[in-house]
Order: sequence, then C-alpha cells, then structure tokens
Amino acid sequence: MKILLAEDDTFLADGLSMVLRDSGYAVDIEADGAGVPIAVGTTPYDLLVLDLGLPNLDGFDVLKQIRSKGETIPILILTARDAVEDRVKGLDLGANDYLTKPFELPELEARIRALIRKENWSNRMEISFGSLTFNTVDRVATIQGKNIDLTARELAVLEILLQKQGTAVDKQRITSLISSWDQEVTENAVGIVIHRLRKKLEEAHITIKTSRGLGCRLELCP
Amino acid sequence: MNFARDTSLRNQLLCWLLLPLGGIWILTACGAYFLAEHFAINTFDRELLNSADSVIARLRSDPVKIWVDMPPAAQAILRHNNRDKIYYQVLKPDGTRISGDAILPKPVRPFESPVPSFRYATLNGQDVRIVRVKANLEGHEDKMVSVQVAMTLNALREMTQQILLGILVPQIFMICLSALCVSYGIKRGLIPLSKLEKALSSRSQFDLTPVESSETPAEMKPVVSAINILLDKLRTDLEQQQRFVANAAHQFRTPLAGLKTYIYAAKRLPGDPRMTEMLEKIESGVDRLTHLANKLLTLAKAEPQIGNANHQAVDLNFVASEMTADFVSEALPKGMDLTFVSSDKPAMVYGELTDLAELTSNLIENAVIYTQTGGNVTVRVSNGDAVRLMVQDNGPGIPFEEREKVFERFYRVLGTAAPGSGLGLPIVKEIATAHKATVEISDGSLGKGTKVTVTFPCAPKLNGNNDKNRSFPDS
Repeated sequence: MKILLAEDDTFLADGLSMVLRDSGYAVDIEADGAGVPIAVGTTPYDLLVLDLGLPNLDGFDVLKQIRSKGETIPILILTARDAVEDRVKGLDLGANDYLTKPFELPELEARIRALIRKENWSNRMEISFGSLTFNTVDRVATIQGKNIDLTARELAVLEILLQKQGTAVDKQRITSLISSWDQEVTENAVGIVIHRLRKKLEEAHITIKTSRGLGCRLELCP
Repeated sequence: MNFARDTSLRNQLLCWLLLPLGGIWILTACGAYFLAEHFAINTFDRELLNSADSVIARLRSDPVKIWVDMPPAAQAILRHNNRDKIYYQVLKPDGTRISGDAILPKPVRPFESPVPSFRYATLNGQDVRIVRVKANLEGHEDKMVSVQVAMTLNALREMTQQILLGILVPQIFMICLSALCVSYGIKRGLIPLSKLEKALSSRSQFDLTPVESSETPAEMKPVVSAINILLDKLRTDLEQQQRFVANAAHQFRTPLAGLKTYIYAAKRLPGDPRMTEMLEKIESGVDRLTHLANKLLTLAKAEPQIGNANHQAVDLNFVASEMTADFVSEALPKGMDLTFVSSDKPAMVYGELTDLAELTSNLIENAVIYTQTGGNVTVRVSNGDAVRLMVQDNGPGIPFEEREKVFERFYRVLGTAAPGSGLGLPIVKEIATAHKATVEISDGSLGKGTKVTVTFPCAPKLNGNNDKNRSFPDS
C-alpha cells in the first residue's frame, strides 16, 4: 500500500511517514503543492493525505487539478483549518475524508485503513484465498485461525497480491508500490521478500508463482 | 473657585458669560449711583438757592443798619418743608450775624466770589448742605452781606435712593433674565455634545463603527471625525490582534500534530516502562497545549462576530440540556451528580447558537473539572423576570476577592491543581458581553462551592412571532 503524504511541515511529515511505514505502508512525502498532482499522475498511490496549506499550490487547487484529470485516488485532507466551510469545500472538491490537526494517531490510521478498504477491498473486512484469511481491519493474515508473522514489506507484498486475487502482478509494479522516494527497494529485494513470503505461506498450501515477463501471482498448491 | 480647572464646558461658558455680565452690572450700578446723586444734588442746590433768594428778598436796610424783614408768616413759608429742616443766616462781610439762626457755622473763608458756593457740614449731628450767596442791598450798592441757607439732606438722600432703585431694580431683573437665557442657550447648544456622549457610552466595546456625524454641529465635526479616525485605527488594530491570535493558535496545530505523532510512534517501540510513563506525561502536556490552542482560537473567533453576528432566537433549555449531556461521560467516572433543571416555559434568548453552546459548555466544564470526586453540579435555566443560566457546584469555590480576576485571560486561582487553560471564563465573559448578558459569580448553596449566573436581556418582542415558529434541528 503506497501513500502520498502532501505536507510541507517536515517535522510532522517525517513523524507521520515513520508511523505509517511502521504500519507497513510505503510513504512518499511531497512538500510542494504543485508537485502533488504530478506525483499522483505518475505513481499508482493507494491514498493521498493532503494538507491544505501547501506552498505554490493551495490544497483546494491541488484537489481540483487531481479530480479534473479523472484521478480516482482516495484523498484524506489533514489540515489545521477546522471551519465547517473548509470541511464542506474540501469534501465537495472531491476529498473522501477530512481530519483536523492535531489529531489522534489511532483515528488517522483507522481512517486510512477505511479509505483503502473501500478502494482496494470494496469494503470487505476479510479476504480469503484458499485457507489463508486476511483481515483488512487489523491487516493480519491467518491460516486456519493461526497468525502468520509478517514483516511490513511482506505484508505489503501480500496485500498487493491478494488484491489481484490470482492474476499476475508485474514485479516492477510491486517494487514501485512498496518503495518510496527515500527508501528505494530494488527488484532483487522484492525477490527476497517474495521468497520469504512464499515460505511463510507454504503452510496454507499457497505458493507465489513467478513467471518471466508476466510477474507474480498467488496460486493454490495442487 | 478656579474656573480654569473646571472641566465642564457648560460651567465654563456660564462662568465666562455671567462674570462679565456681573462686572458690567456693578459698573453700571456705580455709574447710576453717581449720576443719580449728581442730578439729585443739582435739584437740591437749586431749591437751596431759591430759599437763599427768598431770604435776600427780605433784606431791608437804612443808612444805619441792615435787617431782615421776616415776620413769622414769612418764616413759616421759608421753613416750610415736610422732611428737612431749613436754617438761614445773614452775615456782615466781617462775619457778624445780622439775623437768622445762630447755630449755623461761620463761613470758612472770606467771601469774595459773586457765584453762590455750596458745602456740606454737620449741624446738631445732622448732615446739612449749606449755600452761601453774596448779596448787594438795593440802594446801598456799597453794603454787602452774605446769606447762608442750610438744609438737612433727607430729601436729597431719598431722591438719590429713588433714582438708584429706579435704575438698579430693572437692571437686576434684566441680569437675572439674561443669566437664565444664557444658561438655557448653553444647555441647548450643548445638546449635540450630550447626544454624542450618549451615543459613545451606550456602545459595546466591540462596536467600532464610525459615529454618525451628519447632524453634528460644525464646531464638533473635527472632534467627531477625530473620534472616527481613532475608532477606525482601533478596529484595524483589534482585527490585527484577533488575526494574530487566531493565526498563532492555528500555527500551533501542525507542530502539535507532529509531537503527537512522534509520541505515538515512540510508545509503540518496546522499551523501558519508565520511558512509557514519561511519554504519557509528555502526551498529557501536548494535550493541554492542544486544548489551550483550541480555546485561544475560540476566543479569537468569539470577538469579531460581535455586532454583526447571525443572531437568532434560541431556547437556552435546549442548549443547556445538550451541553449537560456532553459532560455526562466526564462526570460519571468522577462519581459526580450532574443534573439539568429546565425552566417551565421556553427561555428564549437572542443570540448565536454555537457561541451560546460554547459559553454553556465552558461553565459546565469548569464545574466538572474543579469539583471533587462525588460532588454535585447543577445546570439550571430559569425564565422569570429575565432569562438566566445558572451552573452551580459544591466544589472548592472561588474566593470573593478572586471573582473579578478569574475573567482575565490566563488568570488562574492560586493553588488550583486541576488542569485548565485560564481561558474558559474569559470566553464566557466575551460571549456574554456579545449577547448583552451579565456574568456573576456567587457562593453555591449553603455558602459552599461556586454558582455562576448568566443573566440575558429579554429577547426582543418585535419579531417574536417569527421566533416562536423557529425550531431547532434536534428539538
């Protein structure tokens, strides 16, 4: 899951990206308002967390530009402006949620999960693949009720594969989805993550099939 | 009396108009007195001279002696006078008396001039005026006598007094009349000033709109326009200050959010339990800062809306019950008894719903925070002679001498342990003032605790019909 954090206050942006990365999200930070629509247009982000007071391009204008290009990315506005008019305007310009600073982190995380669940899992709380069950609320994968211990990257890769439900995902795409601008992940590293994940999923008789040119996909073992 | 120091324009004008008038009156009175005396003496002297002439007419002489032919009948005519005594004397040039009253004083100087001379003297303790005339006897041009006639001054004095009264009484009357006119004129002239005073003193401190100057007299226009310029400056200043406070409070939010984020991240790291405890302390500090920033923002927002607010008729019962309900979750863990008592009939006030909610919530919050575990907080709305909101607790109370100060921003009662921003009551005061309501702090029941009473003015009855039909989203 890849999040673009559009926030010009580095203190808050660094802290937030740290917390979100710990939770298994790949996070890019964009401090320049004008850069946000460009980044959204070029990278397949799962969510945009948008501050309204950005330099060069105001948050509302960022919203307008993104939506006018037909981008469907979920957007959560995170701002110090708490006036009702601002909330209404933000939501009406195409944002999906609005949270005012200072916020409680558990709430922000829950909202991020909810937005991604809506977008990526169509609001399903649980995804099943063979004997593997993935809880989209807690982001926990279980095999017959037993938790699988996954690292943040493994979890991210599993989520990407589960979203596609058996169809292949290009390795390059996986790489771009789990890496962020300041934490570049190589395709080799992705290979290692997939290797480890494959081992952990053996118990569920699920394997990750890699085929050259097509990418990776989840497969039930025969 | 030092009039220069008297700051009343009315008194100064009165003083500067009436003092010269008084001075002029004294001057004219003196003038009138001298004039009156002058005319009276002239008249008196003519009479005296007449008497002297009649004595002269009675002079007889033969070659040997000179005598006055003054039979008793003639004397009676001469001396006939109602008020004054008349004396006469005929003297030889050497001063020996020929005839007449002996008590008349002898002439002071030898008599040469043919012109009659007048002088004052005292006779038997009475002031008299004496005329001395030189007379030649008929047929004896060489024989000269001088005739002195004296008369007491009663008539003279009376005449002087009458003339004086005749001038002065109407004058006093005129002075009084003009003083009245002047005083009334000043009062009339100063009406625009007192209008201005009323217009200014009845303003709320937030009403910084220019003073109406179309009806101001020309002399006051510069003052009014100076006031308006000052008001304008004040308004700009106030707006700037409010913007500053709002911006500052706003600017706190992002770093606060950052702090919270790091604390959250740090707490997730496995580590020393003491570290977790410290992080929790830091977190509560950040929460207090957040609270403070939010209150500051509320305060800054409460101010400028005054005067141009979207006022509507609001039932205080609705606001107070909603706000009381909001605090149940905080009162319950403290084992407190939080009660709401509504008024029998609707308690309508004219105001801004969100502001009234903020006011009520601040009062209840204070009561809940500062009252000890197991205490009572009662929120009561009454609608008697006025609409009142009362929040009463049985907590520690506010000492009498602190009751004014708690409305100052950031003031906190010494020894207060409970957390607070020091802005709750100032916000209450601010909102109350904007609604023309008064806030009063008194003892709670049985002299224990605190009772805060907010008294609202009656909702205007002009558009009462509209208001009655207006309903609230949740009521």
